[in-house]
Order: sequence, then C-alpha cells, then structure tokens
Amino acid sequence: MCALSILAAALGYGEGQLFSGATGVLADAYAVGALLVMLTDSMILESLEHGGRETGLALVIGFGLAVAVSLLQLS
Amino acid sequence: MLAAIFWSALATGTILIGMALAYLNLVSLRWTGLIMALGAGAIISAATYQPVLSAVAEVQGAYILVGLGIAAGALTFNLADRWMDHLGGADRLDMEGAQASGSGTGILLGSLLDGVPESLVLGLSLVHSPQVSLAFIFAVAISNIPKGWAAPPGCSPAAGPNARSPGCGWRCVR
Repeated sequence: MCALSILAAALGYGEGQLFSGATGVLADAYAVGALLVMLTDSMILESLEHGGRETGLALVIGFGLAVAVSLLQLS
Repeated sequence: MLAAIFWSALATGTILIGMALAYLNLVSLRWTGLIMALGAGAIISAATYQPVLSAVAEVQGAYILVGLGIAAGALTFNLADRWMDHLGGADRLDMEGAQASGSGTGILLGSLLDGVPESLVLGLSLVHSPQVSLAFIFAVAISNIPKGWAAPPGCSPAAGPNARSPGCGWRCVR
C-alpha cells in the first residue's frame, strides 16, 4: 500500500511534468475532484459510523488545523 | 521526483503507526473514527485551498475549465469506485472486519484506488510549486493512521484469536 502510494505520487509527478502551465493546474483540479469523492464515499462515511455524534466536530478541528498549517507555511 | 517519493513515503508511513496501535489495542474504535474525521477535515482544507486556488489564479478567467476539471475527476473516481464495488471491495474500510465478506482482490484494488487521488495531488503539487504543501502532508499523514486499523481486521486482537481470515496475509502487507 505504502509502496504503491509512493509509486502513484511519482506517477503524478511525472504526469505533472507532461502538462505545464494551465493544463497542469487543470490536472490538479482533476485530482482534487477525485479526492473529494473519495473523502465523502469512503472516509467520512466510515468515520461517521464509528465516531458517533462528535465526528463532525472532529472534522472541523481537522479543517482548522490544516488551515493553521497552511498559514504557518505562507508566513 | 525524489522529493515526491520522500514526501509520499512520509505521509503514508503513518499507516504503520495505525497498524501498531491496532495491534497493541490501545485506541478504541470510536477514537479511530474521530481521527479519521480529523484527517478528512484536514484534507478538505488542504486539498481545496492550494490546488484549487492556484488553478483559479492560473487559468486567467477560464474558470469553467477548473470546474470541468474537478467534475471530470469526480466522475472518474465515481466510476472507478463503482467498478471496485462490483469486484467486491465495498466494505474495504470497515474496521469491524466486514470486509471478509468481499473478495480479496476487490478489497485490495479498492484500497489502492482510495490512495490514488491523494498521491496524485501530492505528486502534481510538487511539480507546480517548488515548496511542498505542509498542510497536505499533515492531512494525508493523519488520515492514514486509521487506515492501518482497517487494514488487518482479521489480524487485529479485537477480532479474536481465531479470526484469521484467508486474506489476512496481504491485508497486513498493505
């Protein structure tokens, strides 16, 4: 699993070099679309099943943490 | 290329932490669900801000293209997911071991499919920006911890000592 994820990242990297500029960011958008479907279909569904009522709160905390990391990196 | 491999290894390596925690039986199923939700929230923010905003900035007014790109990715994953479920991987993330009812190949392929979008975003973002998005690495790392649980259901102590299913071996590998 880990090895294949790494392979996919390398693949994504190579793919990214094929499309540069506007096409490249569209490839990003494509991957993001797929990612969001995966999140809803697999991850959120599964976490809700086990996490109970506080699942939504945990999700928002995660959102906030990632925003904080983004801001830390930008500054 | 090396950077992509390094960051991806770092972000997915936490799956091993999850496996260790599952093996030691330290954390309850409920907390696993909450950690997964935390990771999902982090991915939503990390995956939408940087890639989508930079895409919007770069297309110079042709915003419809970004929308079409996102829709195309979503449709592709939906179709692939449907295909995987058809092969028997529908319960792949189930932490209580319901995946034993699916076919081994279906679950394996389905789990791999789940990992593809995040790896793609990671690899692509490394090409377009010189700096890696720490928020995204963080998000993927967190969300991978619970996946270590879901991985070896028949092998975890929670499933009982005699719950070893035929597919146990490769599921531990992943």
